[in-house]
Amino acid sequence: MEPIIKTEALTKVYNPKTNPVKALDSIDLEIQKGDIYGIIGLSGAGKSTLVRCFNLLEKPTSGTVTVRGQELQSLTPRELRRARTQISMIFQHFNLLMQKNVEQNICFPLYINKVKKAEAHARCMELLEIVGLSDKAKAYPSQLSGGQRQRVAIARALATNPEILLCDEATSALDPQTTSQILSLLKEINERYGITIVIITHEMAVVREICSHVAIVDKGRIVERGTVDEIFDSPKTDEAKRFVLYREKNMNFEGGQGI
Amino acid sequence: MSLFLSAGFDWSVFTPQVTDMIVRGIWETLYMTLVSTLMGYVLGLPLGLVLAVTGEKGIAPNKAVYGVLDFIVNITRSVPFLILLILVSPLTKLIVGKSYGSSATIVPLVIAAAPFIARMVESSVQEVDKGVIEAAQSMGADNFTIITKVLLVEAKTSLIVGVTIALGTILGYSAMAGIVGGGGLGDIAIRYGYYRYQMEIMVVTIVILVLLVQVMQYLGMALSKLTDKRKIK
Repeated sequence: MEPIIKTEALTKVYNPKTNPVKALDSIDLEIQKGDIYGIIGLSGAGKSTLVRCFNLLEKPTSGTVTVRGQELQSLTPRELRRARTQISMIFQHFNLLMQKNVEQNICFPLYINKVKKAEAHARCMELLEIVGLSDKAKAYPSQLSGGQRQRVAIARALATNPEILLCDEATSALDPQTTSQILSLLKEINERYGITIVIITHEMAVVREICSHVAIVDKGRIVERGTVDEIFDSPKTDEAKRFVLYREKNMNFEGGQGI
Repeated sequence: MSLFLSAGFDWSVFTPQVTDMIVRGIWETLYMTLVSTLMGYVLGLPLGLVLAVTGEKGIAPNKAVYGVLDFIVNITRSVPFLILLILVSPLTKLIVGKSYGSSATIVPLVIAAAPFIARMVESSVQEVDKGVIEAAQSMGADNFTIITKVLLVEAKTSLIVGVTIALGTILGYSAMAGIVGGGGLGDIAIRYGYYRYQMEIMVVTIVILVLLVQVMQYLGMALSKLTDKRKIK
């Protein structure tokens, strides 16, 4: 089957002229439709840059990114904006419009796609039901907890019925219990709607809890990849062992508590 | 208040004619300030937006456009207002038909206010959280949508504070125009207080100017607080 996300020799160099830093070094990656794909690494490993290349928020220096059969760098700006409506993203700091209420936030991507107001309102109510915030339509983000804000962000990301959901450290600003709730919501969304989910994280507990596959990123390269079971049962590289062992050491905190 | 009650403050100079003149001065000052601020924003708001958008950290960086506008704004802002007032008087005459009076003062006021307003708009828009802009981009928003639905919306509170600062500054400039017969309270303060040594009239007009600034400041801050949704609990 053709992968839904595919990168070939993907390389990103920051400050190529003055002080070159290779954030991504020739990354080849394939993510299949319906996967929950974890990309794990220490901070500065390049994982965030990698996921931002999947919707071209970050422009690669060389190599290709192919999403849903479209090579993103070959698209016109208009085509890229269209493609992005199928590649939603949620963030560590939620990135909601703080001056707009929950409903206005969720309707924003629908406005971009010129969906009629009444239709957008109905869709918003449906989404709030899914994320369990039906009573918060008129609340402002400042009145919500971190977990609730991320639920609003998830509802907003799902508004346009995307095929892919990119999560950039989406649970890193949340406490362990809230993290666990958000992760089960993501899992439910993956199972119910078949949305492919890519999760960027530095926490092995997150990978273990919901991912089907995982890639370990270190110094801009993928050092090891496979199904979560494979990596946990027989990690081959030192980096993989370090992540798995770290998790072993923290066994007592399992059961939705994260690390 | 002790100033008014102290010996030597002669209330008898406030004849009905003088009172009428001061009331007219208040209206002229308000007229010049409000119209100039409004027109200053008609020019300065788009200019400030273009600066913020084309700047190095903007959503559509463009060195050439930013460089030219940045230069023009700096030049206009560095000319002292009093000099500008005289420099543009031929233009004023062309537009208004005369170079004195409150309507004529609006021309240099707008020219001085627009670049100053543009800088404030630029700085307000730059304060908008980059993450929110990135989120909008990830949804497939084009730059026009980001400007109208993200930048202007999220910068709202800061923009209203900017309007308040602009009103106070322009009111101060309008008073300065009194030197060349610009009309309004500043004109009265200079003609009666400075040229004719009528302290009473000067003090009263200045007190009114202070009150006007206070009221504008209070209303502006109250409005910005009232419309700010970031801090409601």
